[in-house]
Amino acid sequence: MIRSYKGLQFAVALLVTLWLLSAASRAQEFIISQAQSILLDENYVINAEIEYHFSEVALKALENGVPLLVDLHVQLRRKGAWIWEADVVDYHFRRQLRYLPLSESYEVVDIADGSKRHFVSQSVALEALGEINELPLVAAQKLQAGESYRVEIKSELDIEALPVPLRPTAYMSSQWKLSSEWNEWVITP
Amino acid sequence: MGNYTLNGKTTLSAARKFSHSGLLLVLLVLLPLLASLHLMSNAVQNTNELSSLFIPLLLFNVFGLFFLLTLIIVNLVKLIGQYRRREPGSRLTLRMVLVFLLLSLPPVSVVYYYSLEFLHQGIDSWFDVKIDSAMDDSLQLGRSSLELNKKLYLRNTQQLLNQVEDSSEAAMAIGLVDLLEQSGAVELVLMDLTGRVISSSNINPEQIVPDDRLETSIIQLVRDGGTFVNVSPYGESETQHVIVVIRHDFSPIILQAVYSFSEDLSQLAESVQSAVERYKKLAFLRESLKFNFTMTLLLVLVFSMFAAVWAAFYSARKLVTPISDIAAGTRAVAAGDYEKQLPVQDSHDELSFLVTSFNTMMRRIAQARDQAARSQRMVEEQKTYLETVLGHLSSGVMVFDQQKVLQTANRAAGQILDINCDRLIHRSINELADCSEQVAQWIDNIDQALVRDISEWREEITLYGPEGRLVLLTRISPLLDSQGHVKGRVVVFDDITQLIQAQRNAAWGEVARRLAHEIKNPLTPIQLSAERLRHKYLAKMPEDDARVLDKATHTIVQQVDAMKSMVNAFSDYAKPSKLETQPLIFDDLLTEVISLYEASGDAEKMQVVLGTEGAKLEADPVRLRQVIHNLVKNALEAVAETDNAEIIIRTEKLVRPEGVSLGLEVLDNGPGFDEAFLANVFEPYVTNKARGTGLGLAVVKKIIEEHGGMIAATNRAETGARLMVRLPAVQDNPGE
Repeated sequence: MIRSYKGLQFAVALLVTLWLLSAASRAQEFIISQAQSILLDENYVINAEIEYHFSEVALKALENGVPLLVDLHVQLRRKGAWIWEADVVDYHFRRQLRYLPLSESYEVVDIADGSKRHFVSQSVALEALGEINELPLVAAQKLQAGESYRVEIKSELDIEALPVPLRPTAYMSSQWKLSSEWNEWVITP
Repeated sequence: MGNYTLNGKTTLSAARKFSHSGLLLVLLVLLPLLASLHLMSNAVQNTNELSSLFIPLLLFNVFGLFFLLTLIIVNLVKLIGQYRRREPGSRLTLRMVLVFLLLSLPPVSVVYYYSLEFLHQGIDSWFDVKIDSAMDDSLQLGRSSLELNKKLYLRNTQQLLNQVEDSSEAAMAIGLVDLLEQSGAVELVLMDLTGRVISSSNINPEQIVPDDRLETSIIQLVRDGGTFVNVSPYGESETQHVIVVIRHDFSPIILQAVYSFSEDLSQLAESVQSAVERYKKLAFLRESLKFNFTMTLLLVLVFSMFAAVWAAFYSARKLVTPISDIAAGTRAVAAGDYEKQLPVQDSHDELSFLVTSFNTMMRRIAQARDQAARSQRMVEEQKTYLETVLGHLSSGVMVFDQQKVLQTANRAAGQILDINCDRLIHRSINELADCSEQVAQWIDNIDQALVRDISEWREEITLYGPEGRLVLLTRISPLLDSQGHVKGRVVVFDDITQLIQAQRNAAWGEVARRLAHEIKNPLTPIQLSAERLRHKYLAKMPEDDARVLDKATHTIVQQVDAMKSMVNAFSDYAKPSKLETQPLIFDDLLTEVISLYEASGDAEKMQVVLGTEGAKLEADPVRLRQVIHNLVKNALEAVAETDNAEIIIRTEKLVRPEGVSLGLEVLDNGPGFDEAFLANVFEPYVTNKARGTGLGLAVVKKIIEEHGGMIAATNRAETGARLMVRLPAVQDNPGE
């Protein structure tokens, strides 16, 4: 009995270690290297740079015509808000990266407005994918003066946007669970 | 018992309800699980909107299977526990589960294997090597075509740029519109070496700013003397365009020219790209598709397996439950519980019939048991009644079986024979004979009659014991069973000693009355006549005659007196005496009587042992003194001619269950009784003495019996007689 308990303890410790290791490795895939919000024409906008380090499997899928969709989750919440208090802003900004085999180029599409940009090199395309310029956050008038608000952004690969046959594998493989840490800062109008 | 049965029924009913609800629950899980597997198989094919439900369906199936697995594990653990405890039905259940598993596993596995093979081969067949090659070739062809066009457009652009003589920025900016018209491009953009746009011209006059800014790497490439030509979607139309970027040979100017393809070529290029992209994506997803199909099939396999195992458990339980019930029922019967009724299944199969038959059997057994109990009660009542009757009978009753073993004896039998019958039940007749000499004599008399095949045997048996003669009127009858076979003998006997004695006493009384009447009355005239003869003729007669007359009349008178005395004594014996009783201390009375013999010197021959401890008795002192005198006188007469004459007079207190009595023994060392007279020593006129009336001991016996006592006479083992008297004592303290 004691022996089995020891075995159980070992298994639990192993699982926890593996989970921590996988979490640590996941944290390195997408990195928000810079993020800030500025007031521009009475509107707060976000400028950010996100480094997308896709896994080999994801890049292989991209080369084989599987478009990759990255999601930027943006949240704005009053600092010290009660748990039931709604977020001031909570939306998703999505971009798609696609490979065009004929021209051997990459296409970055803003899902929101459908605008496309084409890049010859993959690295430049990834740079463009992670370059957030003047992304509208909130109108300044919606914020109360003197209050502090916390802005949080997080980027992750949208598995649900992958082709259906790939999703079960993606759900079960850490190679597809790509995301960044939450990045946050405070703005005070 | 009733409560137990009721509770048992309630428990079984609850268990059945639980089983039904369990079945319903499992069916509620199984059916949606089956439906979801069907939907999942459709979703895998990505043919409809179900594809978006693939993951939820997959999760639902996994959870459903997990539920089934949990159910099976619980059942399995329970089964293993039952098997270890050797509970009835556990082996059958285990066997059924194994059989179900063995029957379902091979076909399902075979189907799974071949389905998987078929699917894999089918999917692989979509991606034939030739198609792969064709797709690559078409892509290569497209690229070659584009390369050709790219070279043409590059040369065209270089020629265009070479025509520009004034390579200043201003001049080139001004001539850009002319160049656009001349080149056939859709857009021309003039940039410095940093990529800053100096000027641009588009065939669409509304388009002032170029669509896309050039990549830094392209600018770097061109700045270093290279050229960049690429085909990519361009502008709002997203149609394929050729983009050429080159540097002026002498000036720090970069020109970007965008040429549109012909519409046909563009469509073809789009078509090729789309087809290649789709094909490559499918090819890439091939392994995932195989994995999904494999997983779906595996889920179906596992589902089938689990469903089969669970069905095995369920079927086994349905089959085993009535068998276990019957086993429990048989255990209950073995434990004597005939009230147990098994729950009858709703189905009308053989097991249900078996359970119904078992219940019917149980009811009949219970009825038979009740009937037997009633019969037994009746038998016991009759036995009690019989024992009561026998117990109150004055006759002794004993029952012997064919082996002459005592089966029954009533209280009177023990009292008459002076034995403890309870101790002798189920003992042989020989053991009975060991109880006492008296019983042995009786057994000797009836022993032969017990085995003799006669319907009725009757005899008056006289026994001699320490307490005197005992006359038993004994009757033996055969004891028959219901078939008329002899199964034993019934011995009924009555103590008729007192009855015979009473008859004799009555006869003697009658004799005495007649003697008094017939003999005593004539004696007085005889005596008077003799005395008158003597008085009248004695003086007148001659001397010789007178002497004869004197002697004759003297003899007549003397004999008449003797006869009178004898008749009076006999009359006294026959006449009922009137007792004047009072409490007496027995030892004191005895001491008083013995002291009268001290003057004559006879007391020296006597050895008196007093042992009644001052016990009293209710008696007539005169009559009791007469008894003691008679006994002592008899003893003295018996030892008259004996050297070293010795008379032992001993009293004792006898405590017995039937009461306390006082005993008096008078033993002498004389010649003892003649054996011929011993049986009738207390009868009147029975004596072995030369002188005596023969009424002494008869009177003693009469007085003793009038006081409720008894007397017995025996010879001592060495020499001499032994007379033993028993008289009831007064119990001062009944508790003693």
